[in-house]
Amino acid sequence: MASLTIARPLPRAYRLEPSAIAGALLLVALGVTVVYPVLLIVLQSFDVAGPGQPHVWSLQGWQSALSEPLLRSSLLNTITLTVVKQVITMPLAVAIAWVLARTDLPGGNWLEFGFWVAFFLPPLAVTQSWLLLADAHYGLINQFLAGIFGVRQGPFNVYSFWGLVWVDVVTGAFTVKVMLLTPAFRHMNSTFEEASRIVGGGSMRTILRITVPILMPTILVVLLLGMMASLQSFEIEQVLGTPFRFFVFSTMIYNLVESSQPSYAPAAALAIMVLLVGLALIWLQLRMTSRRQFTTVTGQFKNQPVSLGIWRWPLLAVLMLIMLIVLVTPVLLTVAGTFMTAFGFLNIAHPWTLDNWGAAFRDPQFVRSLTNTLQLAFGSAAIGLATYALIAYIVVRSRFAWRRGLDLVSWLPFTVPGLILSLAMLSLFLGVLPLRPLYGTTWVLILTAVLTGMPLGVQILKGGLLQLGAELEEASRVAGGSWWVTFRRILLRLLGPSLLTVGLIVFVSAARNASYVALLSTTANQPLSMLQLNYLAQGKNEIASVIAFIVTLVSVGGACIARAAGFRGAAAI
Amino acid sequence: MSKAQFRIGRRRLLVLSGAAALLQACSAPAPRAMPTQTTAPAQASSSGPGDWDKILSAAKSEGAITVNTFPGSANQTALAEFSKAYPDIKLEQTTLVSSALAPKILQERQANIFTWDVLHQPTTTSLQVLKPAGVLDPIKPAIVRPDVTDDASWRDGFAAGLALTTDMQLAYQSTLVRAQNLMIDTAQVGPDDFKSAQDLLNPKWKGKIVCTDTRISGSTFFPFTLARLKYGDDWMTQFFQTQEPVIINDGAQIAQLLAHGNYPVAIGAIWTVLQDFQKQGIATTIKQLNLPDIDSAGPSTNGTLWLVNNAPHPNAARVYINWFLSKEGQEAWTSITTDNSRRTDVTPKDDSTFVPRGLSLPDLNEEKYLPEIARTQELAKQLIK
Repeated sequence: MASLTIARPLPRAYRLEPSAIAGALLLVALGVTVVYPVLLIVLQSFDVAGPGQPHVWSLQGWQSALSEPLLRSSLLNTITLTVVKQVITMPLAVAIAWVLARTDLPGGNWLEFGFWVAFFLPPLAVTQSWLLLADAHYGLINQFLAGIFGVRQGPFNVYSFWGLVWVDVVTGAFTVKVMLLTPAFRHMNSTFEEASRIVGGGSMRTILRITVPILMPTILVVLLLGMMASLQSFEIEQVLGTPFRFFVFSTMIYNLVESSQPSYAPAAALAIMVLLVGLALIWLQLRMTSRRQFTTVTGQFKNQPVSLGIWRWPLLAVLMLIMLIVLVTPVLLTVAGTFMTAFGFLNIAHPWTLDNWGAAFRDPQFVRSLTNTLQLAFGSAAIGLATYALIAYIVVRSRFAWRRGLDLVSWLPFTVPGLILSLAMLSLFLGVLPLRPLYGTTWVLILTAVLTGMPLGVQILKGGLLQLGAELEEASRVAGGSWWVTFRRILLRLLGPSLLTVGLIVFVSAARNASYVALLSTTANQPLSMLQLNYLAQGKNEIASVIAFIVTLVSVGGACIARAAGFRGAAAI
Repeated sequence: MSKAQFRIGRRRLLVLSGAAALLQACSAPAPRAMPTQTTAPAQASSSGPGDWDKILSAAKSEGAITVNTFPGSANQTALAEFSKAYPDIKLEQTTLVSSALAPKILQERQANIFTWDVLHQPTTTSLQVLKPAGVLDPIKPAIVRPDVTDDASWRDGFAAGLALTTDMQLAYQSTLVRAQNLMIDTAQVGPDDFKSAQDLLNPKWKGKIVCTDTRISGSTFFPFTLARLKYGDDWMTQFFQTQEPVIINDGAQIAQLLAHGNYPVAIGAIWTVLQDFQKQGIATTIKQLNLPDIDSAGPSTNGTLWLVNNAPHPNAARVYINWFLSKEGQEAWTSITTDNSRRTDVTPKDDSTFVPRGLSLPDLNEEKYLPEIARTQELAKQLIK
């Protein structure tokens, strides 16, 4: 009688996947450049010694933070401002993105480009524009309306809660959402919408029950990014909020750090609180999107624009009005500011001058700062894109065991307030030996810009990848294409609009950001944003406007190049 | 036992290797104890020309110097005169405000990087942060030129410039300006409305005073410290809780608002911004006011020199310091920045901030006032809500 032998499974052939190697290397790199600074911030919250003094470990920093007189009101203000801004901007951005990407609106591409340019405008320059328009005493709109109605003072006051909300919304909180959502809507397969209409669904029902749910990962990511950005928002709150004692978390942290005797421990403790809120939001978002499929681009992809019918021209008029508010007005006022003899004063003998441009160009730092800005912007965009694309691919497409950890770590830079993060980055580049040779060079600024842009870049590319069906890559491999050929000729092309958007955002953010680079810049690597800050600190708003306008031109130049490449790329699909 | 059980998964090996690499990369040297502030050396005997020649020769060999001032194109233009006087010594000028300079200089020093030689810094951060961390060396031994140490060249004598610190060694005050803290719009404020700091508590001005943040800005915590010393903490309590001042951190922004007529009274506006406006025919009704009970004088923002410990170019630093404090240096500096030098052979450039001879005013920059300033800042933290 034959005996039975229990079959044993063949030893599994261990194969080292490239994604595992890349994932591990990225995790190590991010561990050093992201986790380490965050750990430093945590440690700082327990070190109550004065700056430069031997460590003194204590809970006193946390006690000071929690007993801050303004803590409760700042927390409430921060949450209120965040919620109100998202409630206003999110539905509006979704609606506009849908109109731009999925309908036959005339001039849709140009309007989309207009939103990009609106995003490029430096926030401080736009804030100054709205001060000029809506200051309660001297604002031009108030003066005009007061003159017409014969009253002493106009109705608008930019130094108020709603003034703050308005300026926040029009300086980027809204336009960036349109930028990020439009490519996602463009990737939406029309067959889903057609199926809805076939069974009798109207346009609104189709949008709410088909389109939005399918695009939920991207919408949630954009919402989350908006909330995180709002939690950390500082410049506008500092300029407009402090005068009427509207304090938020970021201005509280600023006051602790900017004092002549800085209190880093309580400032770090407050930053940890923001970080914990951020981590909670991230966890929620990951949970909501982890178990569903959101594929919209498949082998049968079709993009059929929806006809707007009689709504075409009214919607165009509305969007043109929005463009007037978010783009045309700030640009005109910023340009006007560059020619003003005294910013905001038009009732003097000679209100206009070319001297500001001359003064800016004659500044011995100008050319070097411009060169540094171009290096910084292009370098950050190139390195950032490659890094974010790799991280997003590993998280979405690979079987790397620690891909969720990689995803979480990529969010971290966004959870820490800018001022505290810049202190931590200073410690990073001085404290980690292999990175120290970079200190004082433009590479420091490039790496910082790449790290701070990582959450947004990775999440947008992740959203784009989630929309792409796996069968497209499989078809390529079946046809004999290698991983690199598939990645280059299928994925990158389909992700083109998202890649361009992310690259552009990194480019612009690197060109105009001052908060992250303030502690890392030197005279040698100083970009234009620091030069602008220096002029503002001296009260030379007119020359600062010139610098702001040049930064905008650099950004628009980058956008034109990217847009041209994007049009060619989109046509090829 | 099968071969599979002895095989370490390559994925696991990669992760372990990565963790090991991470630990290695993160191993920075243990923080060194900051060099403690050295005791002041014995006063150097006056140097002869030969000594100065040696210092100059050594400075030229060093070939460079790094100096920090506050931002300002005038500061950069003024210090370019040093490069003309000493073309063999390349001047690298950074323009960091105190809150940016302090963390940078401290963190760099912890990493054994020494960038700066000389600082032009206000006293508060220098004494509260840099001095305890051992960043500063006594400057007095570095001042060796006879034309600089000559008592006749300085208002109240050479030694008066060392009085900012109790050891009379650490810093040198080259300029003397009257505080320009309080400004009024004479179109909205009567000539007799303000005679003392108590008038700032008049309910008539409730909600109409704009000031910089007392927790941060010297242009406010200096006069408020004087008010508190004269009238008690209640003065500040009343000011913040009853008068509801508008707080704006940016002195330039305050100057703009004042010029637009938004507020009749301002504390902490940048006077030079208003002066620029007045040259354009704007803000001509804005005047500076010196209330006798909160009037003070001291160095201008960039008027105090500090020598950095472990300066990378020590001899170039001495050449720079002696040049800056010389007649040529002070003339170059004040002509472009419109500061008022303490030197008696350099004419004052700004009458509005000139301290008349014989007028003795407290200088809140002096080290002895630090505890009171800290108390003012702490009280402001409690009161600003």
